[in-house]
Amino acid sequence: MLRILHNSLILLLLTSPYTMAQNSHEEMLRSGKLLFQVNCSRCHGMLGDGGTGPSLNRSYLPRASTDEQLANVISNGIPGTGMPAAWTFTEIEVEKVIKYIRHLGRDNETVIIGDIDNGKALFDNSVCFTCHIVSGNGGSLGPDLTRVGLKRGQEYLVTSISHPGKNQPVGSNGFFEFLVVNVALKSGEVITGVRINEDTFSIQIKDASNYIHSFKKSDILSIEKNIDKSLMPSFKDQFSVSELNDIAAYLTSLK
Amino acid sequence: MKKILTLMCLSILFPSCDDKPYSEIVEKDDGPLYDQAYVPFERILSATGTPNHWLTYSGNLSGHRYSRLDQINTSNVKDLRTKWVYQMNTQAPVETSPIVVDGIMYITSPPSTVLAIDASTGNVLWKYDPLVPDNVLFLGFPPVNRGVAVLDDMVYVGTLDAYLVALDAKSGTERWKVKVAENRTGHAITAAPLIVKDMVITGISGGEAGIRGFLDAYDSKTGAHVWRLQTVPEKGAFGNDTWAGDSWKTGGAPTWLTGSYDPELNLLYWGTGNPAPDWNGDARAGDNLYSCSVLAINPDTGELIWYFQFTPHDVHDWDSNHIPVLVDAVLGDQTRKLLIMANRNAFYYILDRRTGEYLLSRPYVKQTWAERIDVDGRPVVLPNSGPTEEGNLIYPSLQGATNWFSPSFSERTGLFYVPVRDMGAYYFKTDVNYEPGKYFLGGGEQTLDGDMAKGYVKALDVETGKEQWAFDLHSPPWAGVMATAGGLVFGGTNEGNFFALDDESGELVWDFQTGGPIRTNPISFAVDGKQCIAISGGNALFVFNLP
Repeated sequence: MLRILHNSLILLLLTSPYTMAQNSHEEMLRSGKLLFQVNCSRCHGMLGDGGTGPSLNRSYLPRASTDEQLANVISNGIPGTGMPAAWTFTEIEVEKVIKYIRHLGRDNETVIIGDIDNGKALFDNSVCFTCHIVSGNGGSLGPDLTRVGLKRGQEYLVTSISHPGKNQPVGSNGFFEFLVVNVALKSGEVITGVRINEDTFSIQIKDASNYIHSFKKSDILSIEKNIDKSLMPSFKDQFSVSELNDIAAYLTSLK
Repeated sequence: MKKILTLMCLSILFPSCDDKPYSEIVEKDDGPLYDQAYVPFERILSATGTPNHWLTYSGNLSGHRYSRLDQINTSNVKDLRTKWVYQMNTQAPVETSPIVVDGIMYITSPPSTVLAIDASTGNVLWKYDPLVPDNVLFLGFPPVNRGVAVLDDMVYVGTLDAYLVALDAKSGTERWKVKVAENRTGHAITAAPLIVKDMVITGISGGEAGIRGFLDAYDSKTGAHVWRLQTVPEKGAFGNDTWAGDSWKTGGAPTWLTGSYDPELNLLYWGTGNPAPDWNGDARAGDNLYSCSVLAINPDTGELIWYFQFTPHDVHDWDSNHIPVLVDAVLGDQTRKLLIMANRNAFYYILDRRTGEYLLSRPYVKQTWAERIDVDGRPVVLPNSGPTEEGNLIYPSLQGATNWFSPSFSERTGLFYVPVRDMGAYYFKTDVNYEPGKYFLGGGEQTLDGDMAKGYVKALDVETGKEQWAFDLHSPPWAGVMATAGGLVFGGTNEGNFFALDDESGELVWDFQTGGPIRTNPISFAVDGKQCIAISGGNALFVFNLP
């Protein structure tokens, strides 16, 4: 009898609502990951970071901003594209895959540390707007930050502000974005800027004054690609650790 | 002097490639002999010598993708201009390789629509839509079609939902339609059929769905089934013991690209794809015949005459669905009938196409999976080169060192031109269970793409596989190449560039931005007395000629 009671107690503890929810969440994620790896990874990458299909490790998916839209894309595909309808998925399987995809999109689930209002004040009064657009205002040399909180976590943003270039972003086509290149022309001139586009025969770059250059590769001696460098200066000496956290907290609130 | 000797030598070596000299464009070179758009098999047999037309997927049955037209050459190619553009109503990748007969071009638009176009103006003559259902299964590839075949007064297409359809060449009206396989189990057709004699030969896709691959022949007039060659042997048959347990039943080895044919030997050559599941080979111990192989088949009976397996027990998805290229060349002290292939596993191979004897191999781009190929043609696989739970970095990636898109053999230079992908990938392994109509993969990959990958067009020496030149591409290509008698090699890029290289030096002589990724093969033909070059870029088909 005691033994029975003891076992019941353990069962009770294991199946408390909190534990059940945790188990259920973990199980859904585990199962969703497996479904994703088997069915989706061939095009979207094992970690959802893209391949022949777009990357899905983003909080904001343009075609599927809601879970309902994502379920529709998974179940029905996107007609006319390479995205097939996963008509063999059951409803619960679709739900599991959605859970996993959304999980992939959250690259920082830690609690935000810092004062968002102070961060906004620091951002607004610094030189950030020279190169970044927020809600339609600012310069366009650097990335648009209007919805940056959907994509980036606080730690990432602190690193980006204090050590620009350390987080070399990668686009959905697999190529580095905002890659700093030094283009040495046959004329002897060297132009430095961020790469906007490149193909086998030409390259387009934006220099520090936001001027767009287009070069034919036949006119170029060499292209030096500076992975992990940025045209953005480091702000680690201008702001305290606490202020950097505040700015990053503000940016993560932009969604 | 060397060049003259080479040309003389080549002309000796290619006696079966038709008697006509390198072409001068002749508007009515064979017009009087046949009704318009009527293509008896004898026309396909002599396709190399009638370059105003492009009568079969690879231009000729030897898989050369070479045009004897020389009106467009290294001197005037810079003047190429668009003659017309046809825009397809699709967002799916366009991989069609056109057929041109007597000024009529036949193309396909995704998923399986066939169009006849006036090659002179770009105006549509007819359109056939097989009404592929919305819930069609295409597991492991986009909803593409790579083109049609023509014979007599009919046009043939395989559909994404695995039917084979015969259409009237003048109107697009359906003559017959047969079900090749069940789409609900992941069978599909994306390849252009091949005509051999009075038969339509079609392969099948579905290697990622655990189908059991086969090659089928149908009577061209009636659609009656003639033979089926299973590419995974059944219980009791030779090769079945290369599969553990019942793994052969879901063994893959699909036949999803068009083959080649040698009329003199009466042998049909066809490549086979990966064993299933792709990346977890635990349950299919053994060599897994006839996956990742090339098969030589008697086309009259479907009997397998010989096979050569490039990648035994593949765990990287390195299908051998390539165009078998048939050439005759001097090896050692004798002229031999060869089958050459740049394989997805990063090795270039030479086989004797009469017997399947392995003669030579050489890596043509970075590979990290094989120590070498032994004297029998079997790879000596490096330890720890398979997929793992944590991911294992191996070159090439699962898309391979090249893929389905066509190489080209030039009878002008004697060189073999190959679009090459230089990209590695982390290969992952997961548990896997077979369920009909679902992915059957057992893993996946993370590619080292973007700035960490690159591409080339390479010219290889046929007899040795040694690289003669390499032209750098910004990214690993998905487009085929075509050499011409004008001394040019045409190719395309993912970034939309269509370009021409000098066939001897590899130097760029022309390029054009089409505005969309190029994922198909160039062809050449002549209409209105002018040589034309056709290629798809994005969802549009471009035709170029000189002013």
